[in-house]
Amino acid sequence: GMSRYNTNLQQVANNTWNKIDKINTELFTLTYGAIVVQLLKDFDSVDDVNNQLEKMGYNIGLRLIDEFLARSGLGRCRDLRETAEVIAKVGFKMFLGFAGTVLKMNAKKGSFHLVLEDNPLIDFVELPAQYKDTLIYNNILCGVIRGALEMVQMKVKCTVKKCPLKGHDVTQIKVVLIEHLTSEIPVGDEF
Amino acid sequence: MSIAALAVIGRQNNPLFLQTFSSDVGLKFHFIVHASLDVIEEKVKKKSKGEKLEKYLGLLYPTEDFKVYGYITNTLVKMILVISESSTAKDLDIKYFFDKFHQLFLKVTSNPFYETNSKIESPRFASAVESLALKGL
Repeated sequence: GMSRYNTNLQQVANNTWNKIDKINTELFTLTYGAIVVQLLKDFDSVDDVNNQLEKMGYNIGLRLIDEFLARSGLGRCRDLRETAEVIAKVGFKMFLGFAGTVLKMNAKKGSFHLVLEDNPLIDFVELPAQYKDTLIYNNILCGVIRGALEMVQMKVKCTVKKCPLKGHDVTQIKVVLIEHLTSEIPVGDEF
Repeated sequence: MSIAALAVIGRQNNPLFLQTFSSDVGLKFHFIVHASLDVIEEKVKKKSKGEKLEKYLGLLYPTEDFKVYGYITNTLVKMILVISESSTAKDLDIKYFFDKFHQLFLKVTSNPFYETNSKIESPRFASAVESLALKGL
């Protein structure tokens, strides 16, 4: 049943994790922080920055998916639930170092939430008051998920629902399936 | 409570953080910290001839009511601890305290929104420092 499936995914996640090269997480965290701060200096509105972060993520996701599928050895997901579980248990583990969980799975509505208790992107980060309500610090993750899934024929919309930088206890991203794409529609970089 | 004040001073002797835990007038601690900087400069000068600079600088000077201890990082950020004269804290306890205080400093300065060498205004840092100070020595 589901628990054996989850255990298998955990094994896949651990095996993949053990295979890949790793870098110092602090460098990763500081690099991302530097990018966000620079974007805030370069762009006039916080909305623009949020969009840039999402676009950056999208471009990363387009490329990351191949790496992910190759390293993890996973094949096509049978349904949305499996997609959700794979992103949370294997994807997050592989790229962020921490596995997440799936909440509010709704196959009918075509939506699910991804929850991360540990999020290296936000280590040491404290948002200044002027950005607390407007900046979506984690928006790059939304883009990565969108780009990656688009390469496997799923058009999705992602939004950050919860973030510890805003006082929540976890990072939570809502993913909504808008439509399945046919293979004729070309997918590519966004600038 | 034996810890009276904590300060962090930048490399250009610019004040980055000052927290007092005593009912004494805050200005008194400004003077104490200011005087400490001269003592630290002397200590650092003495060691600069090829000798490795130890971060923990020990007792800088005693006043009538307080004992003042210093600590300097490799990036020349200075940390000052002012404790009541009656405190029986040993050197080792104080060194341990400075290490912990240094860790908190590293965390807050790793915030990408913190401008290096600017005043530390993080509420998270202030409350973490308060907790650390309340634990005592």
